[in-house]
Amino acid sequence: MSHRSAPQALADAIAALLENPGDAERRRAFSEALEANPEFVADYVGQVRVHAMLQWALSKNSASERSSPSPVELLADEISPLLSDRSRRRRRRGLLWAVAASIAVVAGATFYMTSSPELGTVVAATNVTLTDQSRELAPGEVFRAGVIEATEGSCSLRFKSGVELLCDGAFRLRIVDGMLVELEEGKIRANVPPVARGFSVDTPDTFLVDQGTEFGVDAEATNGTQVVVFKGEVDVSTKHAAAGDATRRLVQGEGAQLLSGRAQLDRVSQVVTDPVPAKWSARADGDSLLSVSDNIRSADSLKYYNIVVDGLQEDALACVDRPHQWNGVDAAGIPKIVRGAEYVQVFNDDRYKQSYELHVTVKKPATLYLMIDDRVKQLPEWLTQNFEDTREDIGLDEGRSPLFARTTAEGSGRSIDHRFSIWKREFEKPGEIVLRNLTRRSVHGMYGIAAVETSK
Amino acid sequence: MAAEDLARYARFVELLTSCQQPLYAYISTLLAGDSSAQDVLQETNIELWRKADLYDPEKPFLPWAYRFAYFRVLTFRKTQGASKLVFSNELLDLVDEAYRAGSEEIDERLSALHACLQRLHPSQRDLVRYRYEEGRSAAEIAARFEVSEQSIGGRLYRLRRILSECIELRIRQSTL
Repeated sequence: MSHRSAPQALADAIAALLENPGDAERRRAFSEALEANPEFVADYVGQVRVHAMLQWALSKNSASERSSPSPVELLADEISPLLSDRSRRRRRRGLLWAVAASIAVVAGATFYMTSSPELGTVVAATNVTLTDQSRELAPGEVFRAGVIEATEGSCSLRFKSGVELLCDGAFRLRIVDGMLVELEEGKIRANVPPVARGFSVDTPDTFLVDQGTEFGVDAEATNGTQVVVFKGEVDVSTKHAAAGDATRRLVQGEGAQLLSGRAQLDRVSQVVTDPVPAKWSARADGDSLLSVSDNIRSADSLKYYNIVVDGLQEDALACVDRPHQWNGVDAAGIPKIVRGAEYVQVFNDDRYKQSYELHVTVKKPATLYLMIDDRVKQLPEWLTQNFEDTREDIGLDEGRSPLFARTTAEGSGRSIDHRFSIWKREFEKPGEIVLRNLTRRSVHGMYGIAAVETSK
Repeated sequence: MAAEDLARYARFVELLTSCQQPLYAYISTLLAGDSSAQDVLQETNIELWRKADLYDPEKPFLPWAYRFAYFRVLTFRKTQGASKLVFSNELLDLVDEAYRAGSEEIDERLSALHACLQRLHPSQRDLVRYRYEEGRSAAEIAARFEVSEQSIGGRLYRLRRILSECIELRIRQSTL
């Protein structure tokens, strides 16, 4: 299907409309331009068709991730019977939910839940009580709807829908059905596969609907709820907000907290994660060596710095906004001085911002390390006067989307795009330092930050 | 439920799942990119399920599904104030006709899209990545590269045009 190019005004109007279809002025401009040039409808159709295909094929919330490999078995035999009426009423968005709900409508009583269906299996459990039966939850047993709680425990649940749920510390969790849990208090981390998109968590302050993701929720009776998205997207509805302002979609790298009784989501500036036991905390008084805060993120931004405890290993994610990875520059691997260090996943987008200030607090005696891109030739005084070059290097594997036939490689010394020099500064006691912008005169990556406790 | 009915519904789920992208693109086109397209798609899915018994498996699924989507779009338009409608009824019919004229070969189109993306200039691929893979707006991209939003919008327009023509060419070549 070949067609002529639209006149410039119409082309501009189409481009503007696709960027912001909710803008009334842009809609009017486009409408007038197309009404005046109906022969270019095909041009418009071609634009939107490709726009929709790109959105569908490439977005992190893409259809390829959403679709089920065996929708019939999963929907009819697994998901639908596991949905309670209550869960059905609450969920609205999501293809899977629409299809699953429709299956129930069409198929009638055949697929409705039994009185207490098996919802999944307990993978691990320590000091967790199955409240209704006044006994401890045991690894390997199947679980059904009910309440589990702990004063200091942990558990890992695998739902039949594929959802993995980790509970940690003091918590009380009501499992309503295979797609809905109520977190009355405590902390959970959910890993939701594409087929279970729509899995929801209800807390006293918020209602979360997963859009294909891995996320954490921390609910406290007095301090409200914190939500952190590690991968994918989550819709967060605040229960105290006016209608229309109640829902916000959080994407990977965003975190928000809602204080009890408040209507407005606030930013969580940093999250501390411990990858091995899969623990995390967005509370400011966490047990990390470092804490950070910057001077540029407005209240509109919900992006957080990720501080990874003992995390600087091969292929460690370097930034929260890029797929870049830290690696050793050769087969010897990441230099020993920083291997296994606590490090900060920073924002690569901040590297050229002139007014940028990052306040780094070192909470214990430690060595603070900065990884500086070797492409920077004129080093700033704030670096050279406060830090010392260790003469050790680390590599950055930038990687890209598999779409572009280039991806990050696994392991040391492979696919290294840039070398970074490791600088250090000793902190004999807890202290704070302000890091700034490197330069705008050369192309470079954002610096990395790591720390090793002196006693280690 | 009888095994025969279950098999029938199984086939229906497969068809419905496989046509989500073209249905979304179709609805998005009729709504001029409005973010409500996803909601209308879900309503269409539910409507399709309710009418599953009416589907004749001997006939192509997608044209049948488009009709339901079209009526869901009309229903959606009724809920909107006149000032919010982008298209007049006449123009909507024109868009509908133009879209469905090239709406077959869905899998081939997606396959062609991926092949065409590989042929883009690296800077164009970067733009695709920023806009669609990372989900950044034209305004964000413009701020990052210190150019105007209109400039980015224009580049995206040309990019989509290149891809559209490349896809059409590949579809034509594959049917020769």
